Amino acid sequence: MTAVVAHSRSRALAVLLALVCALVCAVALPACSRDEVAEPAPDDAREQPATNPDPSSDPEADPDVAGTTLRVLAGSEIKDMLPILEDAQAELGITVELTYQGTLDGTETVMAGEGDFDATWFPSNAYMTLFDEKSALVSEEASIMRTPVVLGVKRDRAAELGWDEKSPTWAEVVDAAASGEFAYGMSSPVSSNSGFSALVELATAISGTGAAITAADVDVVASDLTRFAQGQALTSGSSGWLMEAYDKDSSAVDGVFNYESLILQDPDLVEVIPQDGVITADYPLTLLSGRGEKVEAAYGALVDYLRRDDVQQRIAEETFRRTDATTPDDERMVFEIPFPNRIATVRALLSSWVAEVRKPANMVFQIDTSGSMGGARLDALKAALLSLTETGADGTAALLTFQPREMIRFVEFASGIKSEKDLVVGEDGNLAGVSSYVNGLSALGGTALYGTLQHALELAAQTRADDNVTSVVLFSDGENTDAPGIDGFAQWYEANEAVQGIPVYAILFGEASADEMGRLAELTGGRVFDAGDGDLTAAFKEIRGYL
Amino acid sequence: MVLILAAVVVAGAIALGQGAEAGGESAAHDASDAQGQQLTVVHGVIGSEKESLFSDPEAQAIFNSYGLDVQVTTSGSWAMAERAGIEESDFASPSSEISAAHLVDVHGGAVLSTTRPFYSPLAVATGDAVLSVLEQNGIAERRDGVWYLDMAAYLDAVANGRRWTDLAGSDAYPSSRNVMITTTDVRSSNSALMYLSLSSYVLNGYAVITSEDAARQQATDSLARLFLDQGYSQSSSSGPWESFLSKGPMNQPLTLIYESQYLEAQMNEPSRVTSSMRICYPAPTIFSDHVVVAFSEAGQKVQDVLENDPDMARVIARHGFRVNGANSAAFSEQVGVAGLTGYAADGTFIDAAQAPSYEVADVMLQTIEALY
Repeated sequence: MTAVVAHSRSRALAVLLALVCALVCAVALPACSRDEVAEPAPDDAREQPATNPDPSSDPEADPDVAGTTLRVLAGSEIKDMLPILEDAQAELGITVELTYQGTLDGTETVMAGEGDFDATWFPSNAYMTLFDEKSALVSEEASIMRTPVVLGVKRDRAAELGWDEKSPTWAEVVDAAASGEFAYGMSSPVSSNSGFSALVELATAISGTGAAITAADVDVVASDLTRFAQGQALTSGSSGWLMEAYDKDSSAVDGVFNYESLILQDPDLVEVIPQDGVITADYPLTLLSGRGEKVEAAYGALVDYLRRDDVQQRIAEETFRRTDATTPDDERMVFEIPFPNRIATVRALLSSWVAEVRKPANMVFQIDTSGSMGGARLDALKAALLSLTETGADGTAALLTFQPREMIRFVEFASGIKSEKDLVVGEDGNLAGVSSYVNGLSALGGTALYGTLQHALELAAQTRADDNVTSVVLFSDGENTDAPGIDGFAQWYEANEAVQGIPVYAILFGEASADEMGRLAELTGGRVFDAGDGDLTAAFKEIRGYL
Repeated sequence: MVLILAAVVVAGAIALGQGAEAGGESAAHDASDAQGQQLTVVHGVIGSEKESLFSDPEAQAIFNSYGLDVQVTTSGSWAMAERAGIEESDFASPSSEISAAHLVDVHGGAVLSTTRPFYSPLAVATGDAVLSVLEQNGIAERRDGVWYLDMAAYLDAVANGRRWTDLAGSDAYPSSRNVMITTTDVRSSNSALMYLSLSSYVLNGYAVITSEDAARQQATDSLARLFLDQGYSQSSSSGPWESFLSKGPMNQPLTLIYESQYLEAQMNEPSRVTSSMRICYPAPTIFSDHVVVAFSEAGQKVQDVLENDPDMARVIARHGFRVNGANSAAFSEQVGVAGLTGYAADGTFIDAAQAPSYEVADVMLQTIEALY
């Protein structure tokens, strides 16, 4: 019997069928129960009245929760739930205030007791479960929807590889990536849950033990992971932007690793589920402990709303995720890969990926130290750059620092180029050279933005290779003051094939022109990062996921 | 606390209105009689798998007809004994005898009485393809239309690290993962604790482990693997079950559940249980006894209604539980009315494992926890 994996639009049919089924079988149900976290640490704060009325019978705003604000730290993955959340807010009379952060990074924020949040909504709490602090910090969690991290392959390439007929094993995916037959895009495992899940899927399958991967297995699989990494041709700090980048220019890759829900929305991609299995994101809406009765009631009302039959149906239709309104497609064999149960394993795997396995980054940082950068701005810039050199940092922060094998070039500019510095991080990961250079920056002069960018791109192009990931980071706090302007730059860019395909990641800060930075990102396949609120360190850390 | 009480009273009033409509005809006591009289508010702490039963409008209407307004909060069964102020509630209802014993031992002086109104055997949610592979390898067997998992054979496969692809006939289920039941986190969940008890009993030659040293040894040598090799596991029993329902038996081949969860879904959400899904009973089995521990006279009234009211028995059975005592026929009636098959009839569980004392269980849990 052959596993049938080729599948993309048939899901819409399944959703329709489920809809018909749900209508026919509209049986009165007891209210969905939320998963009570049954930790052996009694805590009155997490008591929940179980006698909730069926919310569907009460179209008016619930007086118990009306006016309550829920502050939620969420993964950017749930942005497609905003229309549904808006309706939930209108119906329940509550306000849901979302702050976005990557799953690993955000989980660490909450587990460190930082940030003033009532709840989290990441694609997965698997990583959170590895923290001893979780039992004390989390009150309740309720899975809202599910989607596995799979491989989306261009229809013609899937046919050529034979993956549309018979799903490959992960070992076969590795072989195809190493031989050059299969080039792919994948988001950063440090910054994005989809990239992280793909890496765990791969490493666990390759380790071949049939059980959850352990720290000892990480060394064993490193060489296969390195072979796999040779096929990576597109990277991203988030799953959403990975699809955007793919849609804009898919010429460099044969497919992408991403959530099934996103793959299904692209009719040209065939969903491929490797035989050994995948990891499913289950989106648990998670209440943190000790947030007060009003917040708990608002959380309960929101969970009940999201798990209501009609809303589950709507989530399935609008976001392509699996919910209580969808039934598993019995014809398809989708095995679940176990997730490691020790935090040391996860850290070892991520550390191996960034320091040894992945294609090293080849980065040109174009840094504006014009006169307007004096004072607090220059201090913020230095702090942001130095945050990428803090090798002693905890958790994933340490993985965002510059890594062994990486090439870093600084091009400091104002009216002209003020200084240049090339650094290659050695095997020992010593970053003292970077920090002493950054500490020596001083502000003076105008802003010859595009002229310098031409130079920065040329520099990047000189060291661009198949075995690295080349990009330019542009930081400026003001508008261009010298020739050429953006139009002149665009002409130069179009005529200069050697620099095309090198993305320019531009940071919006101070008086920088949002329009021009946007045009630049569009032109080069890069992205604009808004540091308008002044948090340059957060912006640089976010960018790091793209480099 | 005052605020939340107000919320519960409003919620209760709405639910009462629904209950009177939904269950008015069949309730033994006319719910409308109770509308005028003052209801006694009764507080209980229950295991989360009974939440849908207690929030069922018909169950509430029946309680109301006895002058009771039963309000519950949920808690992990094992954690109830250490829960602050538990003895100030009117009753507690953990989901296993071992958790109840723990509770009574810690709060013995405050306990007025204990009853066992209903129970549910531990079961495994699985699929036909998976069972056919297990059957060919002598790990599962079908008798009188009911599937049983031979625990000794299963535990042997686990001990030998056998994968699905190592089994004869695995073309029907060619997963390279090892054969392993998906459970909740044993450090926090009652159902996983029952599975631990059952496995301990079988591995010890169908005998309960009584010494703490032996418990420590067994936990290290063989029991820990049942949980550690799963990797990440969810914290509440509805987690793996919900995953099974939405991802199916191909994704999650063996899922530890309470029988009541499968039945409740078949009776109330039939579209979610697909034609390839199956229920299977571990052999020997182990029962999750739903014990009601009363701390007050009002709590004893709740015990009485749960144990003796025939309409309540019907509601209990509709949520998938097997009823003890005079109304025990309610279970097979409900299963029969729904036309469900594949369920073991009452009295066919010849072989039931015994759980260890909670002290011994605690040693096992602590030993495993240290290995995470």
